[in-house]
Order: sequence, then C-alpha cells, then structure tokens
Amino acid sequence: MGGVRIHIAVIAAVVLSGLAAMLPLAWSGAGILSSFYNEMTARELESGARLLALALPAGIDGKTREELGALVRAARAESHARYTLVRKDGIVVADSDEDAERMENHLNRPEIKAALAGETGVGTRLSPTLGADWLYVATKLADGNVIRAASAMEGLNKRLAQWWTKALALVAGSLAILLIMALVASHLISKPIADAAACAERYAGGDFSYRLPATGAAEMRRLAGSLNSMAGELDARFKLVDRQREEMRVVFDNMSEGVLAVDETGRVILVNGAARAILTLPENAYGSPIETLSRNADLLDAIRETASSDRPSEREIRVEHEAAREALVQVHTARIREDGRNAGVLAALRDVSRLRQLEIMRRDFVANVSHELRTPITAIQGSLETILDERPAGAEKIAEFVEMALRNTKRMGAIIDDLLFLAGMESGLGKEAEKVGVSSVLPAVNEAIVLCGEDARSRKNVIEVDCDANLTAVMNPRLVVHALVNLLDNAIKYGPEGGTIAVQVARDGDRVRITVSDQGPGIAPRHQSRVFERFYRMNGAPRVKKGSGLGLAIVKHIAIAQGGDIRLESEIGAGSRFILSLPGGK
Amino acid sequence: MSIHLHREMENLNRAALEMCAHVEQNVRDAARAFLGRDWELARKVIDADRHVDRMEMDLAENCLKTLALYQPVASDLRFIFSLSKISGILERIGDLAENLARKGKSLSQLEPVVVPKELTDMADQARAMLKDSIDSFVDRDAIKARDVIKADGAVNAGKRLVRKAGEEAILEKPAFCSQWLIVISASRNVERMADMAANIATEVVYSVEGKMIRHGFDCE
Repeated sequence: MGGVRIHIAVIAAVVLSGLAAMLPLAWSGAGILSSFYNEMTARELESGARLLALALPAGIDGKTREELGALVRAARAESHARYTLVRKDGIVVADSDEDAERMENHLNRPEIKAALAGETGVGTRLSPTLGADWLYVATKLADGNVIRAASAMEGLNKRLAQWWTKALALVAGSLAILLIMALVASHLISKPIADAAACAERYAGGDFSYRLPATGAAEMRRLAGSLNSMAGELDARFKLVDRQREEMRVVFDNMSEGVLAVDETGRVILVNGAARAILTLPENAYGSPIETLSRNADLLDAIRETASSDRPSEREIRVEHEAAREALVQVHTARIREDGRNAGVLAALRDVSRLRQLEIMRRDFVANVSHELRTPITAIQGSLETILDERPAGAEKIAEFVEMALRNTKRMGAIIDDLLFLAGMESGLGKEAEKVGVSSVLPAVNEAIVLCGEDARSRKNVIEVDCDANLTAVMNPRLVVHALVNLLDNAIKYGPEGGTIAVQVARDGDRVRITVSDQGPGIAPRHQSRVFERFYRMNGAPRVKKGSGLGLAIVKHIAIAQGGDIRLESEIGAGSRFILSLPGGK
Repeated sequence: MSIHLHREMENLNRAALEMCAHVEQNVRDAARAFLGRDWELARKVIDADRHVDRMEMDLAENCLKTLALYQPVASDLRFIFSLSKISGILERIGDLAENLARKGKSLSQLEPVVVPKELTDMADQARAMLKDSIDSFVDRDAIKARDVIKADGAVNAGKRLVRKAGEEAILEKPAFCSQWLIVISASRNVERMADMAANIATEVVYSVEGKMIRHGFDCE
C-alpha cells in the first residue's frame, strides 16, 4: 500500500501554508522596524551634529584641541551620541569617546566623503576603534571641516531579538491551533473513507450482509448508499449464479450418460457420477492424467485421436468391470475448442450392454419362433405330401399320417396359444382382464398337482406338498395354477424317472414363496439368467419334444403381472429350485 | 529439484501407462481369441502389436534423453531406470500376446477340442498378475508387487497340469495331436507372460525400495 496517508497530507498542507503566510509577515515587520529605527537614529544624530555645529559658528580653525575636546565631551554628556570633529584633510581633531591623537585619518570614511562633498553623509559599519555596529552621520561646518555624530546600534539588535522572539512564539502558537484543526479535519475526511474501504473488502470476501451506515458528509452518505445497493445487487446475482450452478451440478451428476472431459494435457477437468461408474474411476479423479485413472486402451486411443482431429468420433469399447463382467460402452468424443485453440476432449459415455443384450434376445426370439413353427409345419407338410404322393393303401395307414399331421397342428396351436398368452400378459391384459385378490394358496397348488397328475404318474414321480391351509396371497388363482403347472411340467420332464418333486409354500415376511424343487441335472450358472427367455435352450440339455419353449417365460410374466417375481437356484448335479414369490395376503 | 525433470518424468510415466493399457488389452484379446477360437480378434491382436513395439521404442529413447539431459539422482534415477526396463518387459509381453494370438489363429482352423479348464484359469491368473503388477507400478506399492511375485508359482503349476492333460489326451486320441501341441505351447506362452509380470513387480520393488530382489535374492 503505497501513497501518503490523508492525515499526513492534510497536516503538511496546513502547516506549510501557515508558515508560508506568517514567516514573510514577521520578516517584513523586522525589516520595517529596523529601517524605522535607522531613520529615527540618523535624524537624531543629524540634529545633534547640527546643534553642535551651532556652538562653533566660526568653525574649528583657531580653536585648540583641548577646547574642542571639552566641547564634544560636553555634548556627549548631554546626548547619547559620540561626536567627532574631522579636519578637511581627514585628521581627527577631537573625539568625545576616544583619544583623537591616536585615531587614523578619516578621509576615506564614506560619511566624511559625502559631508565634504556638501551632503549629509550617513554610514553604518563596524567601528574599528570601538568594535561594534555603529551608525555615523556627518555634516560640514561653516569653515569646511566636518562634524560627525555616531551611535551604537545595540538598541536595534535588542529590539529585533525581542521582535523575533514574540513573532516566533505567536507563529508556534497558531501552528499548534492549526495542527489540531488539521487533525480533526483529516480525521473527518479519512474515517468514512476507511470505513468504506473496510466495507468493500468485506464484499470482496463474499460477505454481502454488511451495510455501511449512512452518516457524515453528503458525499459520504451518497457513497454509503451506492455501496449498499451494490452489495444487495451482487448478493442477488451471486445467489442466482450459485443456484444455477447447483442445478447444473445435480443434472450433470445424475444424468444417465457419463460425461468425461480432459484438458489439452490429458488431465481430467470434468467427470460425472455415471462416467465414474461406467469406467470405474476413483472419486477424486479431478486433475489426474487420464492414463493414471483408466488403462482402457480403446478409450485412451479415442481421446488421443479426437484431440488431433476436427471431426467428432463414435465407437464402442469394452470396459472390464470385475473379473468376469464386461460392459459394452458407446463413446462419443469431440474436441473442445476455446478461443480457436484446442482445449481438450469431451467424451460422452453410454453403457449399451443391456441394449445389445436385448437386441440379441429379439434376434434369437424371431429365429426361435420361426424355427419352432417351422418344425411342426415340416412334419405336417411331410405327412400330407406322403398321403398325396404315395397314396398309401388302407385307412389305417392314412390315419397314421393324418394323426401325425394333427399332432403337429396341435403343437403349433399350443405354441401360438402360449405366444398369444404371453403377448396378452405383456400388454397388461392379464392383469386387467382377470381380477387379482386375496385367496388361499393351497387350493391353487392342489389344482396344479391334479392337472399334472397324469404326467407325473407316467414317470413314476412323487409330488410332495408342504403348505399351510391358512396361507393367503394377493393373486389370481387361475394364473398361479398356470404358472405352477408349467413349473411342475418342467420338473417332471427334466427330473429322473421315479424322482421326488417338492412343492413348498412358506411365508417370508410380507411375501409368500412357492418353491418347486426337482432332482434334475441342474442348470449351469451361465444359463441361469437366460432360462426365462423365450425359446431359450441350453446347449447340451436333453431336447424334450413336447414343450413349446415358452413355459418359463410365461411363469416369469405371470409372476410380474401379479407384483411377484421368480428366481432360480440351481447347481450342476444338485437339482433346481424355482422360487415363485407373491405378495402375501394381510 | 528441476521442474523440467519432474514434468519429463510425468510424461514418461503417462506414456508407460498408455503402453500398459495397450499391452493389457492385447493380452486380454489374445486370451479371448485363443479360448474363443476367434480368428478376427486374433488378427487384430497381431496387428496391434506393431503399435506396442513403436511405443516401446519411443519410450526407451525418451528415457535415455531424460537421463542425458537432466542427470537425475537417487529415486528419480531409479524410477527412470526401472521405467526403461519395464517398457522392455511390456514389449516382450506384447510379443507373447501376439504369439498366443497366432496360435489361436492356427487352432481356430483345426477341428475344435475342449480346451482344459486349467489353461483358462492360467490365462485369468496371468492377466490378474499383469494387472496387479501394473497397479503396483501406478500406486508405487511394493507390498502388492511382492504379492504378484508370490502368485507366479500357481501359474507354473498350471502349466504342468495342462501338459499332463495334453499328454493324456494325445495318447487317448492321437488324431487331435496338433491341437493339443498348440494348447501345450500356448500354456508355456501364458506362463512366460506371468513370469514377465513378476519381473515388472521386481522392478517396482527396486524402484520403490531400492532393493534388488531378482534371481531369488531378497534383502528381507
């Protein structure tokens, strides 16, 4: 903080101007005083000299030195002046204070010279004989000789000293008063300025709640008013900016697309929650070079290539999450430009694994439907063509082929029925058309077992039921029977001949769980998540001719339609357990 | 210490990490191509190895340049020295990945055999070792590096198991002899990768602690 403080500036100005006004005044006073004194003394000396000249009407010629000495000494006694009588040739003939014989020739003295020329000579100088400042006045006598009167200047010097003492004391006194006034005035000026500065510093520090009191001079009141209104406005704007930034941050952090930006040196400048989750980045990724955060070569390539190209790019990269799981991520990258120069790369990331999986499922579904429908049609076509082409003899032979065609027609019908049922469930008809309400679980279980009874008996299976008769669930009994029939059907088909199938119904908190366990070969973990897809077939599983391939998909949709879900627990060689969970009644 | 040296060291570190990313990806893709009989992917890995070679040359030269220009001492010197060695090891791992991919390419042309589970496990272990060794390099974590060195034994055991399984399979069905020879040599390939990962870990221990623990010497 350079610059002179207001106090010092004001005080210096006042003191200097005071001195500038008073000192010349004192100086000129002293000058007037001394010239007045000189004038008065010169006049007095001149009249003294002229008076003494009257006592010598015939001049000094013819008078002895003794007479003249007595005369000047008498004059000296009557006045305060020293008198000297000097001859035309400069020789001193009498002096009131000194021995005239010993005095030097006075012809060179200015006052004597002037007097000899006929004027009144005046001179001021140090007297070599008496050693002090003296004023000399000389005048010519009637006979051409000169009389000179002189007076020491001690009186003047004493007066001047008095004058200066008084004048300086007065100057000092008024300077003291001026100083006090200057202090007060500078305080009055600088205090509000310091207050305003402190207030502005608070604002700069972000504290807008402070208000400057409007007191003092009109200018200061105006300054306080404008500072206060500026603070109010700034406060409102900062709050607006803060709110907008917070809104942006919330949107940015919670959007499902990942956003990652790096600057031109490859350091992360922007990353949101989704990007962190997709790329498994640490929490404090800001400022770190991207290479230290992610070792995904495709991502690094995408960023590097975009940084040196004007065109935005799009690619799909694989990101390894845990040891086994891998995500397919779509990456859009674009260069960030700032004032026409390259300022980094922005990448938008989207996890498309699920999308790709759904695409695969849809493709598989279409292929499977075509395949499943194609098989019976081929069989029907084959039977009918055989009848037509070969015209087998005998009604029995024909009946055999017709029966084959009929059986496959039924199979096609069953598949189409299941597809329609599924479509209905999916479009919400299953929930809308049939009522869901609280009802007992046991009757539904029993009905399903009765419906599967014949198949179970043919494979010598035993179905064990463990169910409390009082258990109720929020469900549609018809749909639950349908689902249980499908589950039991699978258990019978895939379980060993003579095996035991267990149906267990239990309460689990506010839900009811119906578990169907079989003693089949089990399902490998990699198939477990997919067995509920339509027409999904495990490689190597015994291909059972009968089913439509839609059974488990139907079970899943029935569960979902009633607010429940279906789970599979299975291990190779240890059987499978399908767990249908429904909302419990009351 | 000079700001320029540290900036240069950071650039070297980043270049090394980018190389790590590519090598890791090549190893992953090579294993996937071999086990999944993916001819296309195998070709991609073979092409990508040229890129890794290029990176290794650049990195080695930049390490030398930095050493000559700034003449670092103590841990800075150890770091750059280790970095230059690690880049060489990474390049060799890249070559091994390329070899594995070539074997995958040949295998995919032959009649399929069921690859023994031991080889899949070995590949997973080797990849995990590579990942951990690079992580220990990134984090300057000597403890993790020592764990990587210890894990090498399991991969060696896996190689012996694969060899045994291969020999039995050849005796049983000599028709599939060429497939099994490829599988056995692939297992050697994977085992070499694990060795290299352990070498990286050794360099990390040296870079961090200043202790040489190669050839079974350990000051611990």
